[in-house]
Amino acid sequence: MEKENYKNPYIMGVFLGLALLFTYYISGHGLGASGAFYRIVAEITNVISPASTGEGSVYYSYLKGPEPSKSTWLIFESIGIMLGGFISGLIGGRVKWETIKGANASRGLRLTMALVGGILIGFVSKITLGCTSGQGMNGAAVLSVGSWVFLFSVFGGGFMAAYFVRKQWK
Amino acid sequence: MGPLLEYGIINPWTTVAIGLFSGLFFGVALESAGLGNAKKIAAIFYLKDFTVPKVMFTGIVTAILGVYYLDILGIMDMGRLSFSATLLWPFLIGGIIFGFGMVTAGL
Repeated sequence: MEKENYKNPYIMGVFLGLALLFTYYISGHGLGASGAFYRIVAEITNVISPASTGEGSVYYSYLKGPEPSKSTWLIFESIGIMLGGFISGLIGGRVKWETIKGANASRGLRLTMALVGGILIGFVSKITLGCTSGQGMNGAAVLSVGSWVFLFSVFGGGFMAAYFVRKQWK
Repeated sequence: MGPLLEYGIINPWTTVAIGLFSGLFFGVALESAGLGNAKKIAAIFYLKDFTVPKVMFTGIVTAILGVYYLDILGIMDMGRLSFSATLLWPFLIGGIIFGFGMVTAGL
């Protein structure tokens, strides 16, 4: 692997934990990454087909209630994540236009895999009520059994599939 | 006493602004550790790079200890924190599919 200038993962882990704790202290809700996307999907669906976003539909929880409901701050939080990542990348001199992939893998293969994986994650995050942040880390921090089951399943699933998608990283 | 929003100490619009700030911290922590790099994320599944579990579990342990002690000290009521119900089979099977997606996308 190429030379890296990343910060110590344990220190960044503590930093991450403190960010989560701070969010819990302020709002009682943890951090999330998938929620903002569902809010956007719900809003778009509401414009195209208002009939399908009523009470009892999967979209409803993202649309009900007065502004700012829970998911409004998730959008701002997600904007914060992108800004934070960009700032950190600028400071570390890592900002450049590139496709991160294995040296021998084609760009098309990598982008296809990214799309396929992204669709899988987006689809299944609805079943697991959140992603590795919103379901995994938040729940794990309050010792929710379901979140721990989810986290270990994620790693299990990753190891199972790793062999079949290895080409893009080689 | 926290959570501040739950106890009506701050208004919901303030949490939106604070959300941006927490996201900023979250993003800086992830990117600085190298988790803005798809290859580095996927590398855990080939046992080449352990950044993902290092960051993730250090973060979780920090938050667990924080929640516990802030509750004992009377600073934050852990009973008012929200988290989802446990749906065992959906989380188990869904988690495995999520793992497929994670190594495929490097996300």
